Amino acid sequence: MGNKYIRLFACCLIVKGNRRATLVDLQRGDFIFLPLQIAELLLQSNSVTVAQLTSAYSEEDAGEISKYFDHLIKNEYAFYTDEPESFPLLCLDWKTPNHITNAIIDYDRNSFFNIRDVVNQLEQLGCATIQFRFYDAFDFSFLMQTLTHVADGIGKIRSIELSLCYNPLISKLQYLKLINLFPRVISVVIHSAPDGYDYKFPGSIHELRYIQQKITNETHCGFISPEYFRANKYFFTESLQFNSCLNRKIAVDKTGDIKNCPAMKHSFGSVFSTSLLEISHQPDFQKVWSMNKDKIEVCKDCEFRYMCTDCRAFIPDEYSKPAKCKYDPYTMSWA
Amino acid sequence: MPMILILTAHGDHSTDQTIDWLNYYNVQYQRINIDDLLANHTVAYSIDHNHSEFTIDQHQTSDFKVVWFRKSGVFRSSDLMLQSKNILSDQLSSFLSFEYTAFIQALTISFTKAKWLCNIEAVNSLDKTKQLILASKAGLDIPESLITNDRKQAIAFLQKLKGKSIIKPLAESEIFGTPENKYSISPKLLSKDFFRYFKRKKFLPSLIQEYLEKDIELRIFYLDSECYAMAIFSQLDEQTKVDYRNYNFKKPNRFVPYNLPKTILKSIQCFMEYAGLNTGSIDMIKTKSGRFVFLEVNPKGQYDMVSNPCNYFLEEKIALSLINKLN
Repeated sequence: MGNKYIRLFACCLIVKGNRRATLVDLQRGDFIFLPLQIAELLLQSNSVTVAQLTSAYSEEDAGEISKYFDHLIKNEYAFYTDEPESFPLLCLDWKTPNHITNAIIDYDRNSFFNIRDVVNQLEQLGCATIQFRFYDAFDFSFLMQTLTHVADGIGKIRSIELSLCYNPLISKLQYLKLINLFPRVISVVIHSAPDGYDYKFPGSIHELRYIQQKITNETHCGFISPEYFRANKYFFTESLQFNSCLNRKIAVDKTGDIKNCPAMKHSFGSVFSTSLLEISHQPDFQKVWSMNKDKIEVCKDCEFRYMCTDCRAFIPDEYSKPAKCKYDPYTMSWA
Repeated sequence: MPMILILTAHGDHSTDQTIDWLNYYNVQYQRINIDDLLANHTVAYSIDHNHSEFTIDQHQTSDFKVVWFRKSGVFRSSDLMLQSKNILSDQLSSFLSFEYTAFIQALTISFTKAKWLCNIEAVNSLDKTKQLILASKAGLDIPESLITNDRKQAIAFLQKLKGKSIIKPLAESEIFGTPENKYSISPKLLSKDFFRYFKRKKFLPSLIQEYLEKDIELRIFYLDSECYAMAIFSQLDEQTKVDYRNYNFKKPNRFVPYNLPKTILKSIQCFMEYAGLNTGSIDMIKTKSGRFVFLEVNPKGQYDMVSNPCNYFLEEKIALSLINKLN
């Protein structure tokens, strides 16, 4: 294979951290670790053959490198070719036709803004995904009314995630029927439940989960952990340029304040006095959108930086890494 | 008054995404899902001595400047057809189906001022054999093929090919049957002696082609003379070796962007011109010996499966193509 080129599949991208690199597989949604030297070699591998790549190394080292390459080939991260120019790199642009792509609406028993009005405004903004987070138990008819309203809209809202407080009067079967009735509801998580439960609809992304964790307000969010990592093209390319949590997001907190995130302190206005459209076009509101990981201390040296969802709500100062992240890229360890 | 008409089907996600971009560029359009044309729209075609006028709702079809034929609806599953099912051994539904086809034909030719993205008439007049002939004329390599109803002919053809051969449907790949007993009609490898032990001397004319030892499969989305190519590494997986559509969902085939050689690009442009198409999804194979072999074009092919893995933003490019055609 010496006179061939080794080429990573375009969907497998190297992210160099301080001490090691990750090879992120955007197609199969996974990643592996790579030593930095191997990552360096792979980054030059378009223009030089495997023999040329290893020529500067001792026989022993060259053998180790070949073993590594064979491992990448065997696991389908890379392939050997005679014509590297036929296999261009993946275009890493991210763009969207929608001014707002996702929203969070928080609600509890003291909230009194009109959810349906907020939904109408989001639809006008082109928002495709809404997360509703209800901190208190609401009856089934309230849920039905809200979802029926979304379903009767102009069809811009394409997926809905529900985070609901456990209500002993609503059965699992009712929730399952609800998901069947409103296919846009892709995920229902019942928090503060007496027991855990996990149901994934066969052959689809829809899920119903019960979790015992008690969630009473917005401070439950913002944890960073490998189980929340996302290795996909949309998320990765967006993270390269933009904030991986807040880009094109708008949030209405339980009091009706319009924010970048319900857990952030700064309010840009209230749904009672101003429109989401107006707020979402303010430069101040959009400022945080462009806060990508390369601008954030510590994160910029982390090998997980384009897979992990940032948090700007819980931070000591503007450019700090998320306070709820326990990973240290300089020691490669989780505290 | 919208100047762009989109003919598509209910629930087509690719149409939704392209429409998002039309909204972004702030152009007016009318979407019609052909499957609910008869149930949810009012159509009228009035013809008299000196005038004819085809209207859909409040629009005259002759006023549309651009028509995008994205997808045809499935008339078979419309309410009307389901009601007529099994009546008089399906003679009624067969009649209705012909009537419907005649109506769609009348609709198609009523867009007198329109520039098309994917001209319906070109689509309807292009079968697999014509595609192969035109491709070859345009300088593209094609698989050696025989369509025959005769066992002897088939045996001789397999002998001539020496290597492996495949059989594939002349029209479309289909899956049918009952939920318990499904039959998948798709390209299948033939054993060397397949026709020797075949009982019948005559059968329904069938398409036999030489089997190509794949290096990679290519799926090319063509739009207004541009090619957006994707390589599919289907030969890495036994399950997808003959046809990548035997998807392996657990470990999907590698889909990556690909640069076509210039000569192939030129021939593809030439072929599409012969076929009267300004868009389509082209299937090709690059063989282990370095041949680029044309298999077929699907004028209304899915572009999402190329756009997404290669990050080509084809949805936006289609929207811009429609907008360009307005001017």
